[in-house]
This record gives sequence, C-alpha cells and structure tokens, in this order.
Amino acid sequence: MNTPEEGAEPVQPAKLGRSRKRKVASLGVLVAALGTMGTLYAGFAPAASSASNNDPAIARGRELFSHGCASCHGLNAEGGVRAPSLVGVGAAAVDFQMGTGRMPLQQHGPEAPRKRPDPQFNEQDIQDIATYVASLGAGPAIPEGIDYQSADIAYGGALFRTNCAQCHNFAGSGGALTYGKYAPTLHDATPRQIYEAMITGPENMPVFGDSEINPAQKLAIIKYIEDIKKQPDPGGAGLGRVGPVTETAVAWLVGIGGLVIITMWIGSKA
Amino acid sequence: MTDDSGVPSPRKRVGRRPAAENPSNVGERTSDMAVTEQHASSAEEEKFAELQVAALFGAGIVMLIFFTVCYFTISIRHNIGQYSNYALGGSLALALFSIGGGFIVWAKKLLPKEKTVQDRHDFNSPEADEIEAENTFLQGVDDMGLGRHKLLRRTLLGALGLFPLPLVIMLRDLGPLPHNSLLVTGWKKGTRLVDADTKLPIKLGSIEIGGIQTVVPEGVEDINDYALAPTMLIRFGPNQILSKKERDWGYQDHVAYSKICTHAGCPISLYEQQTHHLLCPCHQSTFDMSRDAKVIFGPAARPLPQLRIGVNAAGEFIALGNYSQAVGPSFWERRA
Repeated sequence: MNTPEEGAEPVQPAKLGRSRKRKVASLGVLVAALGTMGTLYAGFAPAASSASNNDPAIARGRELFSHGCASCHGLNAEGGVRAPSLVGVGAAAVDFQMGTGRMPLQQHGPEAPRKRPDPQFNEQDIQDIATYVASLGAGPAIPEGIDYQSADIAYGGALFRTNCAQCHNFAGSGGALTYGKYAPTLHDATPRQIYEAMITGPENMPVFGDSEINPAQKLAIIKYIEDIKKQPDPGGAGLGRVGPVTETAVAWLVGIGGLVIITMWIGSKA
Repeated sequence: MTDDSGVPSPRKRVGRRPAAENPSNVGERTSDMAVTEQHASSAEEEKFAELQVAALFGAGIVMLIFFTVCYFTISIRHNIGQYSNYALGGSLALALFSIGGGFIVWAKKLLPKEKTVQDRHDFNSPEADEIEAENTFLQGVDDMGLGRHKLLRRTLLGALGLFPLPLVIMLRDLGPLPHNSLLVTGWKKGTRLVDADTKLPIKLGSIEIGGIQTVVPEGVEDINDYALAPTMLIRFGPNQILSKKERDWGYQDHVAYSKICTHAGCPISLYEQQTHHLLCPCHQSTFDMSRDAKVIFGPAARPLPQLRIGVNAAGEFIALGNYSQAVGPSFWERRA
C-alpha cells in the first residue's frame, strides 16, 4: 500500500506540493465565497423575513392558513396533488376565492360554485390570510377604492361585449363551458370581486391584466355590469335572461301546451 | 229551401243546394238523425251552471274595471313601465279568459246537447251554371276582338313576353363571384396587431400568463377584409404549448389563432385558461389550444388557422404574413 506512494514521492515532489497548495487555495476561495454569500444573504433576506415575522397580520394569516387551507394547499402554500401552489397568486386571488365562498372548497368537481362565505372565516380573517399569501410572492393586490360612478357606461358595454359577453352572457347571466364547467352569473358579484376576477383570472377565466384592460376600462366594465344588474324586466319574467332558449321553451311548453289542453277540454263532452 | 232551376241566387247556393236533392241529410234537426239529450240536467244543475257562467262574466267585468283603474293610476315612468305592463297585460288576459270561459261553460252546460250528421255537399256546380260560365268566358273573348285588333294583340303579347325580364335580370344580384375574397384576410407581413376596441398596438408582455386578447389588423378599412380578420392572441405559461409548429409560429408563449369558428363562422373566444379549451358558443365545437387548436369535440371539421406572429423593434406584435389557409367555415372552392 505504502510502497507506490513512497516510491512516487521522490520522483515528483514539487508537483505534489503545488497540487496541495492549489487545493488549499481553492478551499480558501470557497470558504470566502460562502462567507460572502452568507453575509450578503444575512444583509438582505433576514431583513424581509424579520419584517414579515413582526407583522401580526401575516402571523395570524399563517395560523389561519395552516388550519383552513394547508390540508390541500400545503403548509407553506406550495401546492399539492389536490390544489395548486399559492405562491405568487397575490392577495386579490385570496380575497376573491374566499370572499365569494368558493374557498375553502366544498368538494372537488369541474367548477367551484359560488356560495355563502365560510362562517369560520370573517372579513378580517380573509384579509389576514390574503396578507400572508401575498407575503409568499408578489401578485395582484386587493384593489382599493373602486369608484366606478363616473366611468363611461357605453364604453364599458363595448368592452364587455368584446371581452366578457362570450362566456358571461350579454346580460351577465353566465353560461356553459366545456366538460361541466361554466362561467358564473355576475349578478351576485360585487364590484370588488369583478375587479379581482379580471386581474387574477380565477379558475378557467383568462387574466385581464392592467396593461391589457387598464383600470379606467375595468371601471367602465364594472359600471356596465352594475347597471345591467339593476335593469327591470319590463315584459314580465326575465326567464334567466339567457335569451331565446328559455323564451321559446316557455312559449312552446306553457303557451301552446296550455292551449292544447284547453282545446281538448272544450272539445270534450260535458 | 231551394229550387232546382238553373239560376239560383248565390246566397242559396252556399251549402244548401243538396237540400232539395237529399232532403234527409240537411242541417235540419230530424228525429232519427239527432241524438238528443235535451235538458238532461235537472233544474238545480241548470241553476248552478247559470251561476258559474254569471261568475265568469262577473270576473270579466271586474278585470276590465281593474284594467281601466290601472291604466290611469300606475306610472309607466317607473322601471320602464314594468308594473304597468304586469297590471294591464294580466288584467286584460284574465278578462278575456273569463268572458271566453263563460261562453264555453254556457255552451257545455246550458245549451241542449244533441248530435246531428250532415253530409258534405257535392263539389261541382249545377250543369246550368257551368254552361253559363263557359258561355260568358267565350263571349268575353269574342268581345275583346283579338282576331280583329292586330296591334293590340301584338303589343299585349310583347308586354307579357317581356314581363319575366326584370325577374331574370335581378338574378345577377346573386353574384358577383367571390373570387379570392374568402381566401384572404386583412393580415399582411408586418401588420401590427391592434386591440379590437382601442385600436392600440399590443406590446410584448402586456398580456398576463393565461390572458387572451381579441386583435385585428391595424388600419384595415375594407369591411370584407375586416370581417375575416378577428384573431385571438393568447399567452400561455412556460412549456404549456405542446405542439412544435404552434410554438414556432408564435412568439415567446404567445400564439395567435383565427377567432372565426371553422364550423359555421361564429366568433369564438370562450377560452379556459387552465384546460386551454376554446369553446364555440353556437354548436359547442371545442378546440385544444395547446395542441394546435385540434378539434376535440363538436361539429367543426378543421382546427382553427394559426397566424404567424413576431415582434418588431418597438416590442409590438406584428403578423409575419397572412393566414396560410382560408379562415372560417368551409365553402366549395376551398382548397384543403
């Protein structure tokens, strides 16, 4: 075992020495680099994390998240088999999903239906969870101060027909999509939820970012939706406001069907 | 009731002539033809039926008065006349229904019940009438004197002969032939993609991942070019596009496809950003936008055509040419 080394040593002493020196040098560089990186990291990262740890809303949000959301979305919101990662979805997505009662999810299916928000999370709880999720990665923030009253309703109508009506129906009544999915009615959505849906693209809805539809255009769309929500049905029942399908069904089944029954009664013997 | 002479008055001829020939089946009540159950109901039943009819007529009166009151009291300014419409339409419908119902109950319960059978009368006229009509026609032709008035005859024939001409000429409006107008759209190499509403160019990065935008070619005025041009610009997430050709024709996860369904030409943009399905609202054709718009459901026969896009020096999306195939539904002259 020793023989080859001992025999080799006298042959190339200088070379081996150089090699050892090199190893020591590269080790030194590595240590120095790691040290620098560590110092740099300590300089930047802990500053952010200590801030977030000090924010009571984030701590509270993390606590609520671990109870109500983590079973599907993971303890660090990293996602899992049953649910997507929430890193980078932003506070607006959380506020929309929980504010409309879609999350926590009741059961898995093609679509998460709108329902009454879960009573175990109040408005403040949702805000705290949103703050916590927003701290995990940058994403759209909850829109503040949505003042659509002065927006241009006609322009909003044009934008609605180009971008929204194909799925949500010309009167905002919603409509069917593929394989059991559907675009929900907009009649229950608040202006803030409509705004959040546009910037986050919940479920299968496309995202309409601020550089595609700018905030003024979004407010115009909201103004239009708020107006069609208030419109009365001057002809009687709106029949879901989904157009000729229900109207024809009622005309044929109830109208003509009723006439046929009355005619048969008239023709029958007394 | 009628006579068998050659000149019956028109009133007598309607449905009554066979009476003389077949006296047994006239619309007269004869004891052997009529199945009679006259006054089968008792006096109390009749009294009750009378009350029913009177109640229905009374309801009609009430509804008509209600209509009148509503007409003058309910404002049509409120809610686009919603409540006025309810009240007026509802009360008038109920009034007519009640009055009509009253008549029907009257007929069914109070009128004598009997069955009578009446044969159909013959379809042909009496022989004397036929001869007279024939003679009248021939006399008229003779009186016109077409044999004598040559000029009248020729001009009449000319006028009648030319009469179909306008109808034939108007057939030209079925054309002209479309030539290549169905094959080309307003897209050219270098045309900027602009938003369908704002007509502003689309910057790279302005669409979020999972976003979609309806775009048209900049500066296209011709209505036919414009009609075929609407295009969807879709942004995918990284590595979500599964077709190499689709990736190559797009630009950095952005792809552009025709918005005109290949089945019946409906504008189609029900895009699901998670499944990448695109659904046509008219007949439920479904396209998988991550696999080169392959048809996965519905009646569409072809994928949506893809527009080759790039980005110019200013970072705006441009078309790299026209669609390589005709957009929209099939037509006879379409190749492939």
